Amino acid sequence: MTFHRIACLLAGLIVLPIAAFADPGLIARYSDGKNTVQTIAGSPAFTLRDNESVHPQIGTKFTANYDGSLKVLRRGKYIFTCDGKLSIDGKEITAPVELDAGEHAISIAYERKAGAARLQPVWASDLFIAEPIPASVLSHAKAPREAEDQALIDQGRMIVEEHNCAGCHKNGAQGLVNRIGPDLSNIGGRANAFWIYKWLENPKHFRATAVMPVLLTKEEDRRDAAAYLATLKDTRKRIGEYKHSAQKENEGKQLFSSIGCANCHNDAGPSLTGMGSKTTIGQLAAYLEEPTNIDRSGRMPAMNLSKEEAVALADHLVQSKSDDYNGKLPEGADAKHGEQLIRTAGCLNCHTIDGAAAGKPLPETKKFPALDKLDPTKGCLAENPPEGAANYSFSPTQRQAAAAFLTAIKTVPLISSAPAYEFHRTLQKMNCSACHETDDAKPVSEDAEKLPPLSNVGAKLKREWIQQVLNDRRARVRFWLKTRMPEFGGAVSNVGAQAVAAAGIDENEPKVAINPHAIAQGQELVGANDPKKNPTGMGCVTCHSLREFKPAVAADATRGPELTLMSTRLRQDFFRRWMHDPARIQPGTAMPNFFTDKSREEADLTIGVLWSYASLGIAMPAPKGIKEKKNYILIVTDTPLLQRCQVPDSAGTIVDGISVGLPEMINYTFDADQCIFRTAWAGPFLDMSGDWADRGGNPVRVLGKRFYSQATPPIHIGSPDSNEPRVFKGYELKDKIPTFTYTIGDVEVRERITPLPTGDGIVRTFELDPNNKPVYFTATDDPSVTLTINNGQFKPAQVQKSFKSPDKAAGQIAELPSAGKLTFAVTIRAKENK
Amino acid sequence: MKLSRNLLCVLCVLCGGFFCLPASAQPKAAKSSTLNGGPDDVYHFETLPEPEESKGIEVGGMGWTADGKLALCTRHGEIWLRSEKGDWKRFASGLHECLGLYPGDSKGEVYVMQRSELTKITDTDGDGEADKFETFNKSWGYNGNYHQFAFGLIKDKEGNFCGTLCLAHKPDNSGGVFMGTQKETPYRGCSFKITPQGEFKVLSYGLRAPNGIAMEPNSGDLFASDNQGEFVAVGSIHHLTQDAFHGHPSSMIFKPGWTRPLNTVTDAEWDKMRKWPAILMPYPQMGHSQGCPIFDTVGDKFGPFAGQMFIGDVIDPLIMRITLEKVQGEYQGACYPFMRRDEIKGSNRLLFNPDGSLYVGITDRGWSRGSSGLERITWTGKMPFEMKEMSLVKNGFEITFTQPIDPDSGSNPKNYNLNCWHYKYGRQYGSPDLDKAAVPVTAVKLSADNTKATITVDSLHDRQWIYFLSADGIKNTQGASLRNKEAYYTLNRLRQ
Repeated sequence: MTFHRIACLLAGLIVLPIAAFADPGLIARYSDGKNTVQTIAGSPAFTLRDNESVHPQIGTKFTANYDGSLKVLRRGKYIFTCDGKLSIDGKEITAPVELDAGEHAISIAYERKAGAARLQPVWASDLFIAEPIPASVLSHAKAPREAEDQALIDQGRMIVEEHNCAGCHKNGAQGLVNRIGPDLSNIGGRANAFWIYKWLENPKHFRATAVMPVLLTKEEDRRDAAAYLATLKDTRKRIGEYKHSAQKENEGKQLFSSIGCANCHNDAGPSLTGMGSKTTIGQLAAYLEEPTNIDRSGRMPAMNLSKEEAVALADHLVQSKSDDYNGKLPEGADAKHGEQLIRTAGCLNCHTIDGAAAGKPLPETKKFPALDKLDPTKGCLAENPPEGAANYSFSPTQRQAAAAFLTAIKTVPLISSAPAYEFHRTLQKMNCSACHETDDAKPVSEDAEKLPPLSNVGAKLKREWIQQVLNDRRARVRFWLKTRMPEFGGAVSNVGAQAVAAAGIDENEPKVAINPHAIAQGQELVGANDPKKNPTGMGCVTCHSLREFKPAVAADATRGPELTLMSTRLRQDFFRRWMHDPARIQPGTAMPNFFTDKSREEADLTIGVLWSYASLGIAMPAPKGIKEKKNYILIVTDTPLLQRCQVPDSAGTIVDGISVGLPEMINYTFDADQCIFRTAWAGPFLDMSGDWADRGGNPVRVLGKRFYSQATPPIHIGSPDSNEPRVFKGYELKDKIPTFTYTIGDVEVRERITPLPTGDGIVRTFELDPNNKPVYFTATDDPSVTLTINNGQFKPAQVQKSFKSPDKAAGQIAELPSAGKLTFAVTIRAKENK
Repeated sequence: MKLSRNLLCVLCVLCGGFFCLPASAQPKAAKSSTLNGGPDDVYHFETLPEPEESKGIEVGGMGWTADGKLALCTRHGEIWLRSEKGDWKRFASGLHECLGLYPGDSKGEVYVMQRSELTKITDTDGDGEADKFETFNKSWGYNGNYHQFAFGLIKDKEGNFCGTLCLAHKPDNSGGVFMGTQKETPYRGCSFKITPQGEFKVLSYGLRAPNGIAMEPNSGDLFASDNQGEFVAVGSIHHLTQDAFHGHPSSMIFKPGWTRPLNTVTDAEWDKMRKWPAILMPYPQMGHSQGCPIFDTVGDKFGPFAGQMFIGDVIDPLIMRITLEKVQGEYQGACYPFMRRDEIKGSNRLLFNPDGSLYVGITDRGWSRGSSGLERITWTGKMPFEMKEMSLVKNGFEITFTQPIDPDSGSNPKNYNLNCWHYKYGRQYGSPDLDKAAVPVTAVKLSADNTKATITVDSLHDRQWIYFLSADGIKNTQGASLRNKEAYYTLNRLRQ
């Protein structure tokens, strides 16, 4: 169901067609022993945590049965893997099976037991490597009556959520994702009084897709309410005003059609006619810059506009005026009375007023029955809503759907959290298919800019990245696109998790083996091909950017996303499938298949090398043949790197830090001011931009994952509580690894920190001449590491009765044998790393 | 002008300022009509290739090693050695912002200023790469403020290392606008000496952003530059003498015996205590943010300026020349533009090659568009027509030219356009030009060989006045105009 269908449905214009021949998706039958739900599932996949279910009206223990048709394009031998029982043409599949081209009956039977669960049917053949069975090959002939009923119930739920019925009818249905109304703190700044007055009379007159009801039926009440609302002006923020400029207007017009505004604001979408009679250039521009500050539902997302662009766009939009909204409030308005109305009529069940001038909302005075106790033929859903009810001007179809939902939850209530089910609904609500192709719908306009499809997106992108793309306008990798990926704000904070749940994937990925050899090979592969200098080069840099390096590409159509973000964005399994056959995943892509003349095994080897190189992320060394001047990421390959700089740390910035990055992907910082080994981390080394970019001189950024930090001195000579002054003397390099020298009192200490061969920790080797005084080594109790000492034993610090170490945090202490010359080694091994 | 300067100062406060102004607010330096890039038949100019593997050398210090290589340290903590032939070798890396270097007295040895210490760096195994990094002195405080630079590095006649320490950008203890220091970060705002045994001694107090130090080779006298800001009206050259106070109060807390809270001392009191800068460098004509001074020690190999001081600018595409003379026992003198061209934008460090060429180490350290690199200027042997020196005489100035001047233009007082002004000393950021006035030249007397002109005026101000001479109309005997027509004399004391 597309947004437009919803929009039309909401507007009551058409009846949704259900169950034509060979519709996409399988017929799903979920049952928890008590209730049964039948519906159409685009893809028979889900990942569930303990307390989650496949459908909100089904409990967490359930059976799922899917039936329909599988389209096989070419005859061949197919291998299926599935956590449930998968049958083709009525026969359960347990071994590779020969299938002819054409439609085959498919059914999957799955039983969910307690605990986390996952269903993701996968297939493979001689023609393609294992992949989740795509939704595009699954269909069903005729939906059963129950599924049609359920579709109506689901539409009803959408209506109930979009109109925020639960704003008033607070109880009776858990887990609804309700759409809240805009914040009104600055409504008097954003809209003129007469416009508000007319809007209250009939929101749908201004905008057919409006979900706001008519609440105030008396003309004087609307006048008073409008007068009050017009007083709500946010005085905390200055909003500049702008004069109309023909040039700006024209720029705005261009923007409107190029960046994606028109993809939603088309004939069926929210109308913008008459905007100039509502608001001003400055106010509209301020709104357009950060719309989710006002409309927290995220239905109007931020288009990442600069101030200038927002002004231009606003200038264009306010050129549309409407005589219906030009006028003056009728005489005699009583704003005080208006405030009373706004605060008692139920407005604040959807809207907020946070402005300092308006004070806090009054407690709601009206009481409303719970959702599952409503009579769906009465009140707001009556054909002619009575005085006191909200009048949404619902169409008969809308009333029918809402009634179906409200009736259904009386007997089959919403009892479970069902993120996979929610995912498809979120895509609809946010109208993602206005721009992207999804499993359920595709953009209306044929000539719209081609944007990445969202089909099974949870199997492609990592959860965190999906979330980042939606919430952070800087997380963009296709800078050449004219259409802008908007930022949706807090309303979509679960979408990453929902996408993962809907894809049925296992988020645990195999560990990546990174070694200098693989990195060097990766640098060659990604570099431009040169028969002499770089014969193995695949030429990725012909189309893809890498940090400061931007390829000279003739056409935008052949540009590719930023390489250093590849491993941050993509799931490893997807990368492999993509590399094996890009056109299979995205027909028409400019990304070539590099392995047409190679065996799968050969291809996998190369793809593995590329992935381990890409896994360095922002710390990927430049590909062969690429020279970057202003890349300030320190890249460690096969020799250790040392850098003195300020390193941030939980116990305070290490101002005079000497950091060492080792080829084993282990890094650490020694504090040359305090003479303390302070912190260690795994993965990439340092981003020096803080120190080197612009005026710099600031702390740098630690890349990778920390596994150790200690801010207190470990060595105590003479007694466990001694704390003699420590003085830094310098370091010597051997095999590029420093041996630090410092004095504690009059004892000279040499400390060398080397990697464990296993790559999951470090060894600190000490040499000192304590002049036969006892030496104590203290350490913080750190659950993330294991400490061992080769010349003694760590004991809990409190066992040492006399122990009054200056190291207050010390949890462990080891006493070393008295000696003239003392050598010992402390191993710090990360418990969970690499 | 006044208004815009105030605006710039405000911007500077907001941005936090290097040595002085934010990059975005830099007015474009006036281009000299004679030198604006392109070929020059007097000074040959070339950009030397940077090392292949470098990310751009932002030069913080330069010197000649015992075996005749150019040693150069960078903001990114690298030390590079460049052979005569132009081969680069990375001697060391991973250091913390090196802004001064002394190449050592024996091969394989370099001393370098890092943020937090003076380090002796040695190549003990002779493979051409350093492997030993000894902390030679770590007496001064560094607590992470980006403006806590440590500048240097030269040796004085007694073999002491000498350098200067920059103040932090806030907090300040003296009522200055935004630069200062505190007890926890000692010796910021001081010049220092470190004995060959590694002992640290304060030389003088009262510096602000002293980006470089130089020694006059005959007398052994030490000079440091300072950058415009609070208590520093315009860029200055200070003569560093034991325990002198150069004007910015913050570092006075480190002076033994000092007890007064700095904020109880008035600007007028500080003014009485301070040692005047020997040279004031009018802003912005003589730079925005001066680099490290250096003396011309190559005799007549770099033109007719033997023994004079040269200094670049971190922001402007400008190298300047300075002449010093002692009047009533103290240094003062004049500064002149020497060269303006785009390639030397950010000429932070200068170094004379014994062969007579001048190496220019470039960085603007993020205060401008991010320049880096190494340039070389060689004198072609053609005599430039310049004011070699402007010096003070009893009732005026004596101008020495590098060539005989045409007596007709040279004896006309109208061709000596003289103006004067002075500055306000105090806690405000910089100072506008005050009491600006034209100074009528009443008489001109030429020497017998027409190389000197003595100009007479009715009266002269002392105590930190600028006398700006513009000699547009002066021609040499071939009818050529001066290559650079301006000279700025700092009049501290009068000839008696």
